[in-house]
Amino acid sequence: MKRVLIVDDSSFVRLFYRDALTHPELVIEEARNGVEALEKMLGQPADLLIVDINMPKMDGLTLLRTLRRQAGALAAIPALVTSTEAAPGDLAAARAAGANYYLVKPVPPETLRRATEMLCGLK
Amino acid sequence: MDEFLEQFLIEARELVEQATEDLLALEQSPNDRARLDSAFRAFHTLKGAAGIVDFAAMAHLTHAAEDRLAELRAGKRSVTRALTDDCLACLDQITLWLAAMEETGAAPEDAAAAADALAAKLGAAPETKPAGPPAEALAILREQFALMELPPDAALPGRLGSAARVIANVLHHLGLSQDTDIAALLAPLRPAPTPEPPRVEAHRPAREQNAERIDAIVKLAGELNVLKNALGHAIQTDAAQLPRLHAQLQRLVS
Repeated sequence: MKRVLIVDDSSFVRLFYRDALTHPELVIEEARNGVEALEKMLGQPADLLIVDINMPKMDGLTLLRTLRRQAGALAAIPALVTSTEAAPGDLAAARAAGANYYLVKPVPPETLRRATEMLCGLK
Repeated sequence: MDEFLEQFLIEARELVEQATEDLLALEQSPNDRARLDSAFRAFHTLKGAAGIVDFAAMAHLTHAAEDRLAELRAGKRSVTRALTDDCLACLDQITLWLAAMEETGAAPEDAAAAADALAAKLGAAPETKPAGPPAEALAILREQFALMELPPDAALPGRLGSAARVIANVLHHLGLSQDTDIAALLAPLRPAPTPEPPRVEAHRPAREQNAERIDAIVKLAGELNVLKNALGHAIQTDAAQLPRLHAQLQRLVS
């Protein structure tokens, strides 16, 4: 089983992603912002983070920068950023923060599913 | 066997049985519209189920049979013994595949040839397989190398570690061994070299130059593969190695 943590302040987006990622080998968890995500990750690390950028309390890029500076395996958890921002500078900022891949919202369910399978290493 | 596959096998066998009964009935009563519709639906549902379990050969074969039955429904052709026999042969093949899946828990890997042969009898073209890994996989791999080339900072071990994990995961997703020669994957990742002014070397035969270039790519791929495995190993053991590995990577991709 692979654990995926969806980090997005929109309950609709979280529901949409959860539905798109219905898969017998995926366990989906949710966090509403970067702080909640860090708390969950310190409790039980996920196999993949799907992260929004603009969120209250702690935004997605701050979350990634914080995570990548942790010690041990926690720092190396793959992260997929999904955002409505599509300018080259946004992609570069996400990469600099440590994002492994970037999809522009709205993300088609099939695209999200395929990217998740590859980033998690599902066949 | 997981519940998902178990349910697939149960439903697929019911549909094969239903389609078999319908086709045999059609042989006796070629104008029985209800039987024709039922057989079409069974093949259609089998095709959809094969797609869900990612069994491309079965989806291809059932699609071919479904197309012929659709032509019967549209009145474009008539029921013949040869056609029902070909459709029944598809069902026999599917029955064999289902038995293999029950035994191994996975779709048989050598099914494409049988599917193409039976589909050809039904008038379908062989399934075209995409060449190489899908574009999305290459895009994800390309992004990992971009991530690895960023200037070193406090997040370097995490960045390299996550990139190495993603590379390993994508290889696993593609069904490739972690020790695969990844030259074919890496070649599209490297930008074409900027043309240089003609040099004496440029007068050498093109074949000789190509051979050297191929050798260089193979060598690079081998070194990167070693690096990738080392990175994967480093995550588990000693993150202090990562800056050295990053320097090695920069040398290789520059």
